[in-house]
Order: sequence, then C-alpha cells, then structure tokens
Amino acid sequence: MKDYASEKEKEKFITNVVLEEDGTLTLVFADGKKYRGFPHNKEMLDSVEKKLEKQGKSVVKKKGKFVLAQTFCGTVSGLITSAGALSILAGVQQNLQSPNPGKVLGFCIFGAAAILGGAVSLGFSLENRSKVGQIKVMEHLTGEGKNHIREIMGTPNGMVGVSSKKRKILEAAMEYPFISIDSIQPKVIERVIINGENNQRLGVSYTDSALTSAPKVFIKNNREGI
Amino acid sequence: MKDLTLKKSERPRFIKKVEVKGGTYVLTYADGNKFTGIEYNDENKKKIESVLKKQAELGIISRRSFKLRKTLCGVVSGFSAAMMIGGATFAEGLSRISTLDTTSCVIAGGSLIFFGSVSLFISQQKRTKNKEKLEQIDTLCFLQDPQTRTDILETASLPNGLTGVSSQGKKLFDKADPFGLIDVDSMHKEDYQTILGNQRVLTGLAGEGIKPTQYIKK
Repeated sequence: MKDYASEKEKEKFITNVVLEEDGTLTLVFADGKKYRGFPHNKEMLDSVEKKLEKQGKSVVKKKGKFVLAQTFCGTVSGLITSAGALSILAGVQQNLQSPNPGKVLGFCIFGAAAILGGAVSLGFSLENRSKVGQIKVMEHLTGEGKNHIREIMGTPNGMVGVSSKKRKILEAAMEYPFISIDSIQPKVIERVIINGENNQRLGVSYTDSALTSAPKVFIKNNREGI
Repeated sequence: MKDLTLKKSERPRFIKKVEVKGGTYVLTYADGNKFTGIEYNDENKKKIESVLKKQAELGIISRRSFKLRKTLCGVVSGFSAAMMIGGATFAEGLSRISTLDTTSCVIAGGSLIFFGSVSLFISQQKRTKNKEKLEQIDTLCFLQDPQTRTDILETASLPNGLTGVSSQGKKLFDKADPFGLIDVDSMHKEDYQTILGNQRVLTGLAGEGIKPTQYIKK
C-alpha cells in the first residue's frame, strides 16, 4: 500500500508485507521501520488483511485531499514550466536584439530553475495521481465490494478485456486484496466492474461450457476455493 | 449498430455487433471486447434486443451532437483544402517577393500542403463516419412510428411490395422480426421509403382495377 499517512500516523501505518525466505512475514511501516518474524499462516494473514482494510477505509475517507493535491500540483507544474519556457524565450530574444550577457544569463537561469520546479511539481502530481488510482481500487474493495468483484470474476465474460497475465495477477491478489493492493491495477478493476455492469444489464443465460470455463468464485477469503 | 456513443468512456458499455457463432450469441462492444458463450434462444434475443433498443434511444437523443460533429468536420475539411491551395500559392508568391531561395519557399509551401492534406484526410474520414451514424439514427427515427411500421409490413407482404428494395433489405422480411435491432446495420431508410412508395403505386393501381392475378399475401 502506498504511504497515505501523516507524520503522526507513520509509525502505525503498514505500507508493505514481505514474505521472507525463512517463511516468516515482515511488516514494513510508513516510517521505514521493519518488524520481522511474524508467522506465515491463515490467522496472521487474516489479521494483517483486516488491519490493512481498516487503514484503507480511513484513506478512502481522505480521498478529496489527494485529489486536490493532484490537481494543485498539476496546475502549478503547468504554470511554472510555462513561465520558465517564456523566460528562456525572452533570454534568446534579448540576446538577438541587444546582447547583454548579464540579462541573458538571468533570464536563462530563471527559466531553467522554473522548468526544474515544474518538473518536481509534475512528479508530485503524478505521485498523487497514482495514490488516487489506488484509493479508487480500495473504494471498490472495502466491505462487500471485494466479494462483488470476486463474483464478477467468477461469471462468464467477467474478465473480458483483461490480459491473461493481468488476470492471473488479479486472481492471486484477490485472496488477500489489501495485502496485495499494490499489484492490483485500477484499470483492471474498472474493467471487471464494467463487465459486471454489462452482464447485469444484459441478464442473459450462458451455455454450460461458458459457465464451467469461468474462473472459480472466491468467497470470503476461503483459501481452499482458490 | 454504429457506435452511437459521444464519450470514449461509454464505449465499453455499448454493443456494436451481435453475431451468431457456433450456436451462441457473440456480442462485440464498441471498445472491441467480445462477450461470448451466450445461449442462442428467444429469451436471450429479447434481452439483447431490449439493450439495443435503449442504445438506439440514446443515439436518437444524441442526433444533434452528431450533426454538429459532421458540420465541424466539414468546416475543418474546408480549411484544410484552403491550406493546401494556399500552400501552393504561398510558395509561388514567396519566391517572387522575398529574397529567400527557391528551396526554402518550396519547403514552406510543401509543409502547408502536407499538413493540409493530412488534416483533410482525417477530417473527411471523421465526417464520413458521422454521416453514417446520422443515417442510421435517421432510419431508427423513421421506424419509431408504429403506423409506418404497420404500413411497411403490410406492403412488404404484397406481391411487388419489395420492388426496388436492396437484396439486404429484402432478406430482413424473411425474418420473424424485420425490425429487430440485431440486424440494424442492414436497415436503410431508403429501402423503407421505397416500400412506402410501392404502397402508393399499388394502392393507386388497385383503385383503377389493376391488380395482379393473385392479389394475395405472400
């Protein structure tokens, strides 16, 4: 999970769960601390999943903040970069009209700095964009949402438009969706939801072969079913 | 059915084609994805038809937007053609009045001609697509009136009722539901207008006592 925590929350916010070579789990927190040696069993994974889902729910509530940050950084990036480009153009024009090394250098240094600032701001905007994308995924996966997604995946044509590679990744990730949240792509979840909507809208019956070839339905973290 | 969506985001939800393959229905959505394995039976046909009907209604509502798009494409085509002609004139004129060498003038004029022709090609393609969509919407609008449908069906069942109708259009009347939207791509307003024209001619002839030897329904 991406880091959505404020400075105060960082020490309690889990960002990653790693399965070590010795078969134990390591929990990585937003402040960078790693807590090792947790058992890798169903109880532990269920507990961590529950904790991460709780984190996810609180993040979903703060979605507006990240959307705003994304828009703000994007706008600032555009403005600063444009100002930088204009400044460099002004420098070039100054050099052509009446060469004044001091002025030209001033324009160019300001322009370069502004473009650099724009690039940094663009970076922040992209980071927030990816966070917003993940929040949208979490919105769909909280509560009964994950079972709804699993049900769609189990219906014929539920995974249409998803490549076989991404399909496998999603199927594996849906066992513990919040632990595997980083591997779930927003576009894939959106596609599955659209397929579910299309199936619901059509309400048609499928042939036996179509029904049997659909992936198994995963219900409520039942590992045996996967 | 033509892609009657206005937004790209609507395309994954819009059924563009319905085919029968291997005893099942295959639905192709406007974004290219296919729904397969749907049982071929009357119940499913009705359900698919009802979804297509809703899509057609949305298309009819969007008619003005498609008309505007078509007009805009026409305007862009006009500008593009003007850019091409302007490019040729500009190159010729520039070489006379400026001190630039001929190669530079040819490059400047050639660039205008190139961008003009690319723009003309793209805008014409888009215009044709929008024109086709508008034609389909017109056909759908035309068939909305129940009386028109009744008249068409009655005339189509008479001898000579389908005279002048395209072979694609004639095939529709061999089906149980000639107005089924599954075959919407075979439906053309001109064919229906021809049938209604035949109705007027046949009624006029019958009024004058001129009837085929077997004036019975097919």
